[in-house]
Amino acid sequence: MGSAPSEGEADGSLLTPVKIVVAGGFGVGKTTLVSAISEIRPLRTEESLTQVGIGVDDLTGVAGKTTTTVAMDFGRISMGARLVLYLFGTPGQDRFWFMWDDLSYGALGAVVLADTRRLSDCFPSVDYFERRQLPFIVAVNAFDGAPRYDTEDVRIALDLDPDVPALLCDARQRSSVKEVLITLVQHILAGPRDGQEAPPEPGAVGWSGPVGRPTFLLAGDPPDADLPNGNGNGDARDAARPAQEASRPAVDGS
Amino acid sequence: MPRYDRWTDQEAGPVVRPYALTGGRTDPAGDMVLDLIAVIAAAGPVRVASELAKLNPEHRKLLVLCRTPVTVADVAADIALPLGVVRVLLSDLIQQGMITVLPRPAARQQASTELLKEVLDGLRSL
Repeated sequence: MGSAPSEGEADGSLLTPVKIVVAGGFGVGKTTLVSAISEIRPLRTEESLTQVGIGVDDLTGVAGKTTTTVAMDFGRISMGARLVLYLFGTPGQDRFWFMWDDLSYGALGAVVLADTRRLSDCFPSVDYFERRQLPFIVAVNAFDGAPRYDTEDVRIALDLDPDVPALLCDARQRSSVKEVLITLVQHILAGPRDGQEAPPEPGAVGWSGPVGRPTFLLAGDPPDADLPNGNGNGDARDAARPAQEASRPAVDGS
Repeated sequence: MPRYDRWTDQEAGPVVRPYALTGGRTDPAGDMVLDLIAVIAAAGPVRVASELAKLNPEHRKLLVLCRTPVTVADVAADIALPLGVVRVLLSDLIQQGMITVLPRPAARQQASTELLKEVLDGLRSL
């Protein structure tokens, strides 16, 4: 809307995709949120299947396949002629942490979707985006029958930085999801962007750079193998999960 | 869901493993990983038949899908192959100069204020 011409806009047909990541625990409503506001598309990934399976299994080895296929949805919102907003939901299960770097690469920011009944499920997401310095907000999905908390309580329970917005939402409602995304973009706009160090990935024109192996970890890799900020990042997976949870105040007093 | 073979069901998944399409390769050519929202497009004029004949059907499908600029994620969704497979196949086409990765103004750098405002306006008008 009335944006001034700048580099890349000389050609009005130039496709400009931007990306927002939707994270949170398994079953928290990420797909619901994405489908409430966008045209949803299925994306299949089988990274772990082949990487782990090399030299191990053959065509007859169909056992255990269910754990190796990752189905993932993404949403697509066209905004005008060239701008397209993509919403990528992170796989909720812990064993798919290796995909997070891939999904977060080049993202504008992230929405961490939280369920008050299982608030601890989103601790790893909060940790991840804090560590990665990717702007994020917390949206508390108001499930029917779930205890209602003040967003301030949620903020305390998640130990959020004061400037990180937290709001209630209904992931089924388009208008509510719209408000969530607007809140995120406003938060990104308000934040320090210039001069902020980009995540240390090599990158140019859409490549995430030369890498010995893909930038994502495999399920069987040792922790800290190649996540960008290696200070204990491997704990994102289940091993150190309890420690993370212990380091944050319990939300329901249990 | 149609079942083509009485010996397998959906649980078994595809009988031909997806990376058979890449000759078993799981790393993209040149060890490059394409970003999910990298914009790619078929490069240059329409290929001659002899050149196309060397490509496998999936490569050809990808070329068709990339006739107009499109993101890697959309191509992967369109062709309904796993992302890792699509990345390897696309890297082949890129190395052969049949597909180019278009420069993206807002790629790695922090998104410009201008772009963010445009996204904000776009969201508000949804």
